[in-house]
Parts: sequence; structure tokens; C-alpha cells
Amino acid sequence: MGRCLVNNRLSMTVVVLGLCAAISIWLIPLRSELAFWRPPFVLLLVIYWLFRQPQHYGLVFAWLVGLGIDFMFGEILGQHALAMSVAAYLVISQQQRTHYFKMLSQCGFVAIVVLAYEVVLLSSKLLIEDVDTLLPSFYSVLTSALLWPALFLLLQKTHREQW
Amino acid sequence: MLLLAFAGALLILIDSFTTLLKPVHNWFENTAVPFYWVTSLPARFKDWADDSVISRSELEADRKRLTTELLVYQGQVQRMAELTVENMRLRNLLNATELLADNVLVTQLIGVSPDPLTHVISINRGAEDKIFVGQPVIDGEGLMGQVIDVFNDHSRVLLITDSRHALPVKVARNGLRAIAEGVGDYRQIALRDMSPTQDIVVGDTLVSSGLGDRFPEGYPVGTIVDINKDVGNDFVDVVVEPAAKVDRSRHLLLVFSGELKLVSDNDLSTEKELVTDKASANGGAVPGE
Repeated sequence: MGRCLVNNRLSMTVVVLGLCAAISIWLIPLRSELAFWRPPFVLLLVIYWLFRQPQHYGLVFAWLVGLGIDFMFGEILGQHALAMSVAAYLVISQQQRTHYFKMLSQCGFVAIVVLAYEVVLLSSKLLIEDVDTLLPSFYSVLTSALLWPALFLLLQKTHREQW
Repeated sequence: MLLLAFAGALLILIDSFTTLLKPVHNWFENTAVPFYWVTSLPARFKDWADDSVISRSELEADRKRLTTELLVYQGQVQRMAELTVENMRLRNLLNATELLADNVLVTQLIGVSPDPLTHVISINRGAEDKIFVGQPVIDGEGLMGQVIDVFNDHSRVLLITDSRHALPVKVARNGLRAIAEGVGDYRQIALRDMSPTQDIVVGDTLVSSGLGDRFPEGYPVGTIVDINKDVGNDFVDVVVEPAAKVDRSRHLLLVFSGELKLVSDNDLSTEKELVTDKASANGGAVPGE
């Protein structure tokens, strides 16, 4: 084919559209019991881009995306930025390994990254308020790992079609 | 990495403990509105379909039901008028000076916070409709929450179930005062520091007490569904089910409290005249006795 996926940088439009779509899915109002199970879609998208194009998307990109979320929906500025950058650091530091991961280990790795993300988010919240529902905050770790294969294949398909 | 993490942590600290970044929040808040608009499309489409795709027989049945309901309510309102007058008379006897008459403004839910731990919703009324911070929000069944941020054409409402929210209530049956606070669960709120000897039973209705000058008196807050008396604890756990459909209502009401003075204008003006007369008699000095 000669079209190396890794070297072609995604155009700005695709990045913005992708982020908008992820934010919209993340925002759809859910019943209160289901809300805890919703995976952080924006984070999953960022993880995918870090996986596929680590030379174009790095820590600064993740941090800026997090800051954007903080600006739009955040209660406290900086909490998503910090959580995003911690998650992105995990992904980038393990890049040599994740490159050879099979799908199952990829899911496990995504679960760990989402767990780190949720821990940072929750800690920043605990700074100023009491949170009674600590355990449910981590339900999204499970759903993220379960959803990851489907999301990965879908993104890969759209990614291929773009080029 | 360290630098970015440090910047993030610094922002969190500044925003958590100071209000320096408040203007930044206000600038960017409007960027979220298009997203809320998009995500509310399915719900609005459903509303539209419910309104437009409806059979004639259903409409007729609806109409019949509404006519009956209207008649019943009109009957009740007649009694209301009489009761209001009587209430005013009694309050007059008790030397109470004012009676609350509330105006409401209908509003619609446009967005829900994506974070399940923060119970904050966005509504489609803002500074243009003279919405103010601290304004009570109710739905058809009871108290929902209060406005915390006002923007030009929308505002954000903190719900009574949020763990940062507390409001003064009283038991409708005997007037016992309490504080109802959210616990981060849409289905329940809790009463703070209730002693085991106090007179509360399962099934008691709680209404807002009007103390604290935030919520007007008498709006339903919830019903007590469970009282756990744990021997080891000084206080009992009281579980209250909110009266409002906090996680389901999409059409809400904003309450404007008006004050309806019982002391008539004539009385007030004569009092003022008396004061000014005294003042002039004292040679312009303010009466100081």
C-alpha cells in the first residue's frame, strides 16, 4: 500500500471533529444509575492517538485537551488537565511495550490508565468536598476496558479510510 | 511531564481555594452550550414526537381529563382565596408583617453535568431573564435546587442532592427544624445531626423552613423513608426521598419571591410623616430617643 499510518499526521479537522464527537457522547444525559458506568470517552480517544501516533501527539496535546474540558465543564480548573497528563505519561512511558500488546493486554493496560485518571480526578475533588460514593467512581474502569476493543477497531477503520 | 503536572496541580489549588479564576470560568462557559444543544436533540425530538404524533382519540381523552382537572382545581382555588384572607387576618393578629407571594418563571433543562459526582444542571434562562445567584428552582413536585452561576442566556443549578448542598427544612407535621443535606445520590438526601429522641417518624413530609433566607417557606422537600437507630451513634440516620424528580424533570420553575406587605401603604406613609414631623420639630435632627 505504501501508506504508512504512523507517519501521516491527522488533519486538524479530524482531531477537532473527533474530540467534539467524544465530548458529545460523554455529555448525553444518562439515568443516574448508569452515569457512573460511562467511560471517559475523551480519554479513550486520546489514548488511541497516543498509541497510534506518539510522535505527533504527546503529553502537551493530552494536557491541552484536559484543560479544554476543564474550561468547558470543569468544576475546578486543572483537574482534567492533570489527570489527562498523568494518563498520557503512563501511555507514553510504556510505549515500547504497548506496541507489541495483543488486544487482551491492551484492554488491561487501558484499565490501568483509566484507573490512574479516575484516581487523580477524585483526589482533586476530595481536596474541597466530601465524596460519599467513592467506589462507583471506578466503575468506568471496567466499562472502559470492555469497550476498548470495539472502540479500537472502529477508530482504526475510520483512521484507514481517512487516508 | 513534571512541568505540566505542576501547572495542573497549581491550577487546581488556585481554583479550589481562591476565586481568582472565576472570570476564566465565565469566559469559557459559553463554549459548552453548543454541546448541550447537540446532546439534548434526542430528548427534544422525543418531546416533539410526543406532541405531534398523537391520535385524535388520545387528544380527546386528554382534553376530557384536563377539563375535569381544571374544574377540580378551580374549586380548590376558591377555597384557597378564602384561606389566604383568613391566613392574612390571623397573621395580622400575630403581628406578622409579611406574607410571601411567589412568582415563577418556566424554564427548561438544557444540560446535565457529565460527572456523576456533581449534581449540576444547566437551564435555558440567564441574566436576560433577571435570574440571580441563589434563586430557588422547583419542579411540579417539590424543591429542586438553587442557581449557582448566571450567564447571559443560561445558568447553572446546584441540585439539593449534591453532596455540597444543604438546606434548612422543617417537618410539616410538627414544625421540627432540621438541615437536609445531599449525599451525592439522586434518590435520597439525609438529615444532619438528628437526635434519637426527636419526634420524627417514617412518612413525615419535610418542607423548606424559610430560615437562611435562601428558599421561601413551605415548598415540599421530601418524605422520610427510613430511620436507622444505631445504638453506637449519638445521632440517627434519617433517609429522605426528595419530593422533586431531581434526575428526571425537564421542565422547571424559577421562583421569584415577592413580599406582600400586610401593613397598607397608608399606614406606612402616615408613619413616615410622623417621623418627619418629629424631625422638623427637633430642628432637623434625627429623632434619637
